[in-house]
Amino acid sequence: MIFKLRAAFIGVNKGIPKLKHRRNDKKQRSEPSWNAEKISDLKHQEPAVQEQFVRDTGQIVYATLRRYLPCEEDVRDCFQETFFNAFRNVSEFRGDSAVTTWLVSIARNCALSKLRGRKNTPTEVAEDQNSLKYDEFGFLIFPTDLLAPDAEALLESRENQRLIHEAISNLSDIYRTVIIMKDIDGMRLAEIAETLDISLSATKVRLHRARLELRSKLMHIFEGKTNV
Amino acid sequence: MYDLYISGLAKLRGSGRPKSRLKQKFGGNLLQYGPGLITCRQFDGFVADYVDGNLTDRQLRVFEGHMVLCPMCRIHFRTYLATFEMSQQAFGSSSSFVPDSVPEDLTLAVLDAIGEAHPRH
Ligand SMILES: [Zn+2]
Repeated sequence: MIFKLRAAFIGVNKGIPKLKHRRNDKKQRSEPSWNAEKISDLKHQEPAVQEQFVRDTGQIVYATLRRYLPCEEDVRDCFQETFFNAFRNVSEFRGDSAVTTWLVSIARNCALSKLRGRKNTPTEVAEDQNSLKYDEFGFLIFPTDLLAPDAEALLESRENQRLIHEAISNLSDIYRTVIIMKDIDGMRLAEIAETLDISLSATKVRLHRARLELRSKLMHIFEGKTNV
Repeated sequence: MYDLYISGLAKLRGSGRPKSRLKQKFGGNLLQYGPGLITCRQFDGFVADYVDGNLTDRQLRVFEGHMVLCPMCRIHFRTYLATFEMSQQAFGSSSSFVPDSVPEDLTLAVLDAIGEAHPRH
């Protein structure tokens, strides 16, 4: 019965199964044969082996940093720092996750501390202009002349792909970060809370506001092109 | 049973936003006090948990029931979901805006730094 309602009002193809978090494809694609044993003495390996490691894993580190950091200079700094830290701490890697997952988390922490170190970074979420409005009877005030936007169809357009990337990079640091961690990198809320050192409920609030903010930037796409 | 109840209510008051003030007032009160119903504010409190798959069966039912009765929240939800899905897919393998090659000078800089920090003997 629940399914019937969902099918009727959300669209059959938008049910729960589709919402399962896809980890970023890129992250898994180039999973090389590096494992804990193979990298354990990376520091003392032939330069050619070290180079192979950097070349095999560099792309995923670079792509991760590019997501978090809008400034190319910061990306370059963090890229070097990530590998520097990885080589230094390679003996601490126990192999309880994939090597790339480990590298990505080093890269992410580096990016986050870079963002934190910036001036003018609001640490508290100010009252949003995008918070929802309600009328005197408690009804949400929202335009109802939109049809259900179909994300997949919208993303077929290269222009829309560009717009979403632009919209995400134009979010404030704290919003962009939480969207990347949750909706793009597929981290769990508890992991995010721990990484950001905020409570779980604060994480949820921030994520919700971030999505509302991003939606307001995408609204013109939804208005301009909606499927039936 | 529950969706019969909801569709009955929808028939009774129409599934659009009520036109007259009196009906709006009644509609607002109904959502606030009606059994198994939630207000738009409560609905918004569930949206993120729905998308992230964290609602209990009971919450899921009232959430979807509200969507049947409330066109504003229906659109709120759909655009929210589309936003989520678009970010989820924006950096996927099919996206042409993901950087895929590391600038060569950057790779070389890293290799130099590593060579200096960990010289081989
Ligand atoms: Zn509502």
